[in-house]
Amino acid sequence: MDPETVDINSKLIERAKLGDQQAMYRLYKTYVQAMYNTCIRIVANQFDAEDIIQESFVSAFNNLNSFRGDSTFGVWLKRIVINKSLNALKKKKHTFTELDNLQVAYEESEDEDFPEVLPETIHQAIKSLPEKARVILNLYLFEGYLHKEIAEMLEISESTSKSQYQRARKLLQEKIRKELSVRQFQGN
Amino acid sequence: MNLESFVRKNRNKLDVENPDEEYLWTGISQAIGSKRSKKHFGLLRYAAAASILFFISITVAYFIGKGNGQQMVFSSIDPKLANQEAEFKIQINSYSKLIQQASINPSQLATNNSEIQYIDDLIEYYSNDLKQNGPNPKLINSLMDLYQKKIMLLERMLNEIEKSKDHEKRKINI
Repeated sequence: MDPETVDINSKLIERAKLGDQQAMYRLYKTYVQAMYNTCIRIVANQFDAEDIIQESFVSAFNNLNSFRGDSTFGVWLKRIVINKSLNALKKKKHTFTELDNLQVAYEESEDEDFPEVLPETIHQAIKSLPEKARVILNLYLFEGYLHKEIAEMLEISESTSKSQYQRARKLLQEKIRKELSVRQFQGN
Repeated sequence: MNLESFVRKNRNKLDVENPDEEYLWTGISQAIGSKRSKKHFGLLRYAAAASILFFISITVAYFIGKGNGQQMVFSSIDPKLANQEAEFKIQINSYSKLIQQASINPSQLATNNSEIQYIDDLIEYYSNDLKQNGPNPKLINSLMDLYQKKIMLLERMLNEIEKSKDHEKRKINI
């Protein structure tokens, strides 16, 4: 984010702290799409994502005084969205249990050839992944958390996070390849 | 290129879903506003809620009835379109019935009845236009889009009703 944007944001945040709804609305408009996409990639359900986004913004605006500017507003807000998304999954009795003892290599493979696909295709494929795999893939690949951090957030071991990630990326690639072959077949 | 490189390279393009921003903001601004003005409410709140409930019940009943009474406009244009329209109508009717049957205070729903009214008005306006000026692809697409939007709004109302029921159950259990 460039310094000018940060400056505008900090002015908006100061105004929002004083209760200026117009400033809140501008902050909301700046971040809502990114936050919504982060959320829906985790919960994979439109209605849940809408609720979580509303709760997250309300919580952020009501607790703006605790935002001290150590990170950007976007990073702070995203952490709220991710926490609320994970809590929503937990409420649905979903637990991140130690699933498998698979000894899977977790280093990124360099030799594979990932096909060029439309963003929409990869987005839908991610949403269709099983819940555990989907959450870990999102936190690692899209949100940039380390497996150690993911393990703490989900109360699982680091090795489970790594093996689930490998499972997720394999499933994702299979789904995308399948989708591409269907499209190719329909195109012929 | 592997998956990780692909995602890193295209990260900004991967936020493909567009939320209904105005709908979400309505809920957020109401929640923020209600927190600020909570202290100023008293018995007056209950009186206001009762009148709103009465008013909204009447408008819901009116608009649902109006939705059911809308005419089929595609039957004289194309059988496929007519089928599609009939399917939309069936879905709208069944959702509308479920909403009518739900014993819930409509003022608790964030989805606004005025949105349904607005869509109904547009459907009526476009339908008349179609009858008067004949088939026009843009108009047909707009009408189909409006039917889908109405279904989406009704789905949203039903979802809110479900959630509100769950919330009530949880309160009872506590």
